[in-house]
Formats: sequence, structure tokens, C-alpha cells
Amino acid sequence: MKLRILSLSLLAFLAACNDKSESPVSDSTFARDPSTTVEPTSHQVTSHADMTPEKNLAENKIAYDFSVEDALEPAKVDEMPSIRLRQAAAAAIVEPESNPVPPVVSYGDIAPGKHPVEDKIVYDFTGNGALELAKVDETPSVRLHQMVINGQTVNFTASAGHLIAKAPTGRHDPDQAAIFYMAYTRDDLPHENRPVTFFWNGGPGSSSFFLHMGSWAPQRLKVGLPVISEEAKKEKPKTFPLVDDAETLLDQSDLVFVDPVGTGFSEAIEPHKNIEFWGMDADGQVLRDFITRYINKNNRQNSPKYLYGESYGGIRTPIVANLLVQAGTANYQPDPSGKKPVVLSGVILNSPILDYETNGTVQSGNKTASWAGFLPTLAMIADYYKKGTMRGKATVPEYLDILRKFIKDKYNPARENSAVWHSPEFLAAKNFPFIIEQYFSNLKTEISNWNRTSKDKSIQAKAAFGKKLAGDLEKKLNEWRLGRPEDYGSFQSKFNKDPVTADVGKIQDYFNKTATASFGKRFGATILSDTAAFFSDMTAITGLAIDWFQEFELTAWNFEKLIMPDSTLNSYDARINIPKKDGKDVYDLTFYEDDAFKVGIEMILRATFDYHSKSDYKVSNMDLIPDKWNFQRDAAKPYSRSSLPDLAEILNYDPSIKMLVLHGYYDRITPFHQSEIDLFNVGLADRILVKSFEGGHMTYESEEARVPLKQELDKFYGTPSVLSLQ
Amino acid sequence: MKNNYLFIFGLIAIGLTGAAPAQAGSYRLSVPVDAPAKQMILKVDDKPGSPAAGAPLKLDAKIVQDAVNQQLKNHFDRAASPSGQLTANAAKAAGWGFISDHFQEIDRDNKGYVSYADVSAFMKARSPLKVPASMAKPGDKAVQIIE
Repeated sequence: MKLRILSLSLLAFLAACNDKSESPVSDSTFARDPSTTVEPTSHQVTSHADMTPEKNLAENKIAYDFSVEDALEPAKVDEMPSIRLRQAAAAAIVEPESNPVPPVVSYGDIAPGKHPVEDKIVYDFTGNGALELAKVDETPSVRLHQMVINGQTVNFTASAGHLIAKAPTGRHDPDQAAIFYMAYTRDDLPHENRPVTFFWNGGPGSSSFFLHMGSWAPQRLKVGLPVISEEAKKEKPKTFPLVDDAETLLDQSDLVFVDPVGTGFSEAIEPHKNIEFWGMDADGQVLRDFITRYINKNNRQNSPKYLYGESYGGIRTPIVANLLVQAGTANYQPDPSGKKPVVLSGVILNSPILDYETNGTVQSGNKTASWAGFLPTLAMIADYYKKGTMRGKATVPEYLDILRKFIKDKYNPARENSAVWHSPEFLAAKNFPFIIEQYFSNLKTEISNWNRTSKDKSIQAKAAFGKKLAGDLEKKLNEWRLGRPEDYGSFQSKFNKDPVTADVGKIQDYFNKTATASFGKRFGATILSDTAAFFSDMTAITGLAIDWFQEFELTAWNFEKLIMPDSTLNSYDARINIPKKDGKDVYDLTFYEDDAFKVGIEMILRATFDYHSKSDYKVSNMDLIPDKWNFQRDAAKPYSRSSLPDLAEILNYDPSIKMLVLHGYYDRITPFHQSEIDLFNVGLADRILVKSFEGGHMTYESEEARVPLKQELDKFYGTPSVLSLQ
Repeated sequence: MKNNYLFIFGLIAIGLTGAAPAQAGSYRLSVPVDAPAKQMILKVDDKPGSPAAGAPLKLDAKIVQDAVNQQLKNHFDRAASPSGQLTANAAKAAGWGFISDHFQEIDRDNKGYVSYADVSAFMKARSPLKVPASMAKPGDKAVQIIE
């Protein structure tokens, strides 16, 4: 069995040139392109190229010499299209061994139900964005497709459009927002047993494009991690191959990719504004109302329902799930089938953050946050680069148990019992160089002409303020009695001369050396007696031979700089690394895949969904939304910035709901052990499984993680409910 | 002193977006950009030994359970009559479909309304369950994590 991999750039080209009118594209474009790769797989997705049936079928006959003329005879298509489609597909499956590239057959045009949408709205993604209600059309685009999953031919519908998230009765201006979604549904299956899964990414401020293009849709962009091509080492990738997804979740569930307000094509409806929905609780409520609308519009009351959220989705998803469970069927329209409604079946969190107060990455300024949750991730990264020595011959699960035990027996006691490391004085002092670094980094950018005489009053003000700060910093050094005054005493005068080159690095060096010596003298006797052994363990785990006295609370940020000093590492999958050039990053690796994913989503919008929008799809609004986001929970809640209470509340309401947390070992934004700790601390570790895989934050982008991940998901979907197994 | 540092925070925040060191970049999982800076500045300004202003609540099982109970009570009070009686219709009208969906089970005496005690008793009877063996991998064991 062979699989056609379409070059994304080719498809992008197709999408560009087939815009609405008669397409000039021919099948041979795919078949003869030398860049087309062929890989083994178990199924194939039919073409999404926008071709007329006649043209398409004719091309098939030319390109593939198998006897399906009867089935493909255009004149007969109107009579029984679905049967003919299956025949065509069956022929295609049998044949490929002799035809390396399977046929491109477009079903969208010949099957009933085709409905292209031309969306002329120019969406406003700012905080003030507010659509006129009259402009919102809830009729989705529809395009039919066919693929073979595990040898079984499957028809499915791709539909994209807006639904109005309507507030429950009794609210003023109930039409809150037009939420955009892209759905893959198997409309031939009875709703009763057919799950539907709602996906969203995180940010906040991201559309669902990472999950949509990378994870479990019928087709995906093959990022191919951890491998980086030679080209990608020079320049950020602009394309990835679009491949049929051998692990698509369509075999288990209908898939609905949802864009929160201010992303994708989702926008508030007047008199509401986008910004109203940019907060932890408001976001959850509007997404709940979208789901309710989707259920009612598509008559999915009796379908099993799943939510699948990623990253900030670790906050968003439990909040939505909690709201759904509490709302029950109150907002369901009557189901004509009379079958028993299902409110929620399961929640899947992929690389979630569950609590902003415990995640060291987002607590970078809060030095009381423990990095224990990060240590196993750092250990796995060190092991990947063959820098760590602790693992030895242990398997990964064995090694992780060793690390968990180390944290429990050694790391936490060291951290919590040591008067040195835990002393607020020391923590405050350690904060100090960080502040200097941050301050100067900004200073240098903001006022590069500092040392020239400026008539600009704002620069003068900044200069004066900078001088004042320098004095304040010096006072602090004195107050904390750190180091010798002669080491840093001249700092202020140097700074006054030339703040840009006052040499922050040196003052940090002074600090590092003198603080260590000074604290060592003052607190040495209270340090654990086996400090040396502990430090040597830390070195074996992290692969860093550093001064652990100073670096005890090793931050993931520092780790990244230290472990591979000559390379740039990707924060979301630390295996992605590119050697630096002349000591500098070749490009910003943080968003390694987003350019290509943006191209991909624009392409499938047109080709797969037949959705043609005047606006660009807003893949990310993260320049704006995180700044405007309300990171506090509603006032009545005694906790903030965490979804852990929501998870507990969901299970309090409905103990039968399945929950699964997925992580990648090399993700140092939301490390797996942090989720383990967070769930353990609130008594949910026995109830919510955390499974980790050979991957990063977008775990599914890692090739070797995909099959194990899918197996885990199969098991999850295949378990009827937690309750039924008790 | 505090005011000065808050002012520093303001200045830093202005320049943060593009220019900040690694800690404050723009992430897919977004760091609330001002929060670390704010906490950091406050932390330095605080006298060593005093807890940072607005120190976050460290969640544990009890706090979470208390929060869950409190939410239930709040929800009940919002939906119920002032005398503490809640009918199925009132629950549904308040968007609390969970209660109207399970009303027969909660209203054991067929009173036609339920009290908070009824709801609470119903919820307690639905005690949390362990993960079924079929969902756990063979060899999975509960991990003892002390934090």
C-alpha cells in the first residue's frame, strides 16, 4: 500500500490558482512532480483539489489504467454517487502497487451536499471587534470526501462556518459571538454511538491551527520531529508535506476544530466586543455556548462528547467541561430521536498548564516557585543530548521513576529544609541579577542613543530614571551585604558615565561570585551534610557541572542556555536544535512550524472545506490577546489562575467522566512532571492519568510519538465510561 | 520605595514585548507578560522574610474540595428560592441543568423541591472513582509525589 504525500507548496499553488473558477489543475501535476514522496501507510485521502468532475474523472482515466470507467462515468454519477465512489476508491486501493501515486478523485463536486462558501466579511480581531448580527450566516460550507482507514473506506464531510454562541435564556443581548469551526464528520453513522470531539489550542490567543494541522485530522502536515532538514537549519520552514493521516482520530470520533473569539474567523457580535471574551471564565462560557449551539444545530444531543485542549487549553478545557456538566441538558433542544442525551464523556488535555502558580516557566519572576516539576524534563533533554549520566541502562519509565524518587527524597527536602536555599533573603538576592538583566535589556533597546546628548525629554527622563535605579541597586547590594563594596561600589559612577556599556555582565559576575562566597560563610553550617553527593547527583541528572550552590533552583531558561551553548533549542521540543552561527541564533526557533502551518490552514480552508474568505485566517492573535486577557477567575472563586478545582468539580458532578493528560518528555514549557505534581497535590493523581511520550509540547508532531499516542487515544475512546467499569 | 518600583515595573513593561530577555518572550502558552515582572519587582521591594503581596494560594486536596463545596453552595443559593427550596424548573431556568436532569434522584421524597442538604447528599454519594485498570498501562503504578 502506498501513500501519496502532496507537497504543500504545490497544493498552496493549486489553491491559489483554482480560486472559484474553472481549475486549470490536472492530476498529472501531482503524479509527475519529482518532489512527491511515497511512504507506506494504510489508507489514503482523496483529493481536495477543486476540480470539475468531468475533468477530474477524465484525468483519472488517463493517469490510471484500471477498469473503473463504468463507475466513473460522469453521466451516471447523479444516480448513485456513493456506491460509485466506493467502487472508485476500491479500485484505487487495489491498484497502487503498480501505480505509485494513487488517483486523485474529487468527490466534493459529484456527491450531494456540496456547498461552497464565499465569506466576504472582513473580521476585526482587535479588542473592539464586533460583528453585526445580520451578517452572521450559520450555513456552513460543505464538501464530501472519502478516505481509507485501516482498509475500510470511509466517507466523511468537511464543513466550516460560524455558529452563534448564544447565552442561556434570560441574558440581555444573548447573541454573544460568531464562533468559527472546521469539522470532519461521518454523517453516515447514527449519532447515538458516534462521538464528537471539540478541539482547541491555547495561548490564550491561538486559533486551533496547531491541533488541526498537526494532530489527528484526516490529513496533517508532517513536521517530522525530531528531524530537522538541512534547509530548515538555515531558514524557518515555509512548508511541510501534507500527508494522509494514518493515525487520524476520525475512526473514533467526529472532529470539530474550534477557534476562540479573536482567532480564526471568530468575532464577538454587537453590542459585545471581542475583549469581553478574553478572560478565563468569559472564554469558557462563550465556548460552552458554542458547543451547545453545535449540538442543537447538528442534533448531537445523544452523541458521546469529548473535549481536547492543548497548552492553555489545560485551563480552558476544564472550565468549559465544568460549565457543560453543570448546565446538563438545560439548553438542549428536544432530540427528535428521543434517545438519552449525553452531556460529556471525556476530557483530553495535551500538554496542559493546570496551575499558573506552580509552573516555573510562567513564574520566572517568582523565585518561590519550585522547579521540581521541570527536573525530569531537563533530565530527559540532557539524556537526549547524551550529557546526563544518571540514566545508565535504565529504560525511560525506569529512569523517570528514579527521577521522581530523587525529587521526593532529595530535591524537595534540600529545597525545603535548607535555610540557605529557602531563605527569602537568598531568594531575593538571586532575583537581583535577573532584574538587572531585564532592566538593561530593555534600556538598551529603548534608548540606544543614551550616551549622546539628547534633547528628547522622554529619553532624558528615562536616563534620569536609569541613574536613579543604578543608585537603588547599589544600595540593595549594600543592604544585603553581598560581596565587597569595592567590587561593585563603582557601579553607579560607571553607570552614570555610560549606562549602555556599564557592563551588566560584570556586575552579575560580582554578584554570582560574592553571593556564593558570602552565603556560604553565613549559612554553611546549615546545609545538608550530604550536599556534595546531592550536587553530584544534580550534575549527573542535568549534565551540567555548575555551581549548584548558586544554581540550585536551576531554571529551565538557564538550562537551555547551558546544556547546548552552541545551539539554539526550541522551547516546545528541546530536541529541535540548530547550531548557532557566529554565536547567534540563525532564526527564532520558538515558532518553528507556524509559518508552514499558516500556509497549510489557508490551503485546506479552500481545498478541503471549500471556504473562501476575504479575511486571512487569524492563526494567532498572541501579540494582543495575552496582554488583554483576564487571568483571574471570577471573584467568588477562592483560587486563581488554575483549573484544578474545575477538574475536581467536574468529577464531583459526574465521576464517570474520563480524563487523560498527555505530555511530551522534551517540552519545557509545560513539563509532564508538573502535571503529575499538580494533580497529586489536589488528590486527583489516582483519577486522572498522565501519559508522556517521545515528543514535545505539540507531542503529535513527533513521528515516533504518533502511534503510541493514537493507541492511548484508542484505549481512551474505547473505554465506555469510568463508571461502567467499576 | 514601593511606588518607585511600581514605576520601574511600568517602564519595563513598556519595553517588554520585543526586547525582554528570554523569560518574557511571546509564547504559545502565553506568560501573562506583566505578571512575572510585577511579582519580581514587588519581591525585591518586600523586606526579606515577608511574604510577597498577594501570594498565590497553594492548592491542596482540602482547599480544592472546600472550593468545590463552596461553588455548589453558591450555585444552589443563586438558583433556589430565598427559603432554600429549589424546584426542577427553577434549576433549569438558572441554567443548572445538572440538577433538573437528576431531579428525581435528588428529590427522594418526591417533595417537588430539593434543599441544599438533598443536593449535597446526592453529590457525596457520587464519590470519586479510581481510574479503571483497562485505562492504565500494565505496570503503571501510583506515583508518590511529595511536593
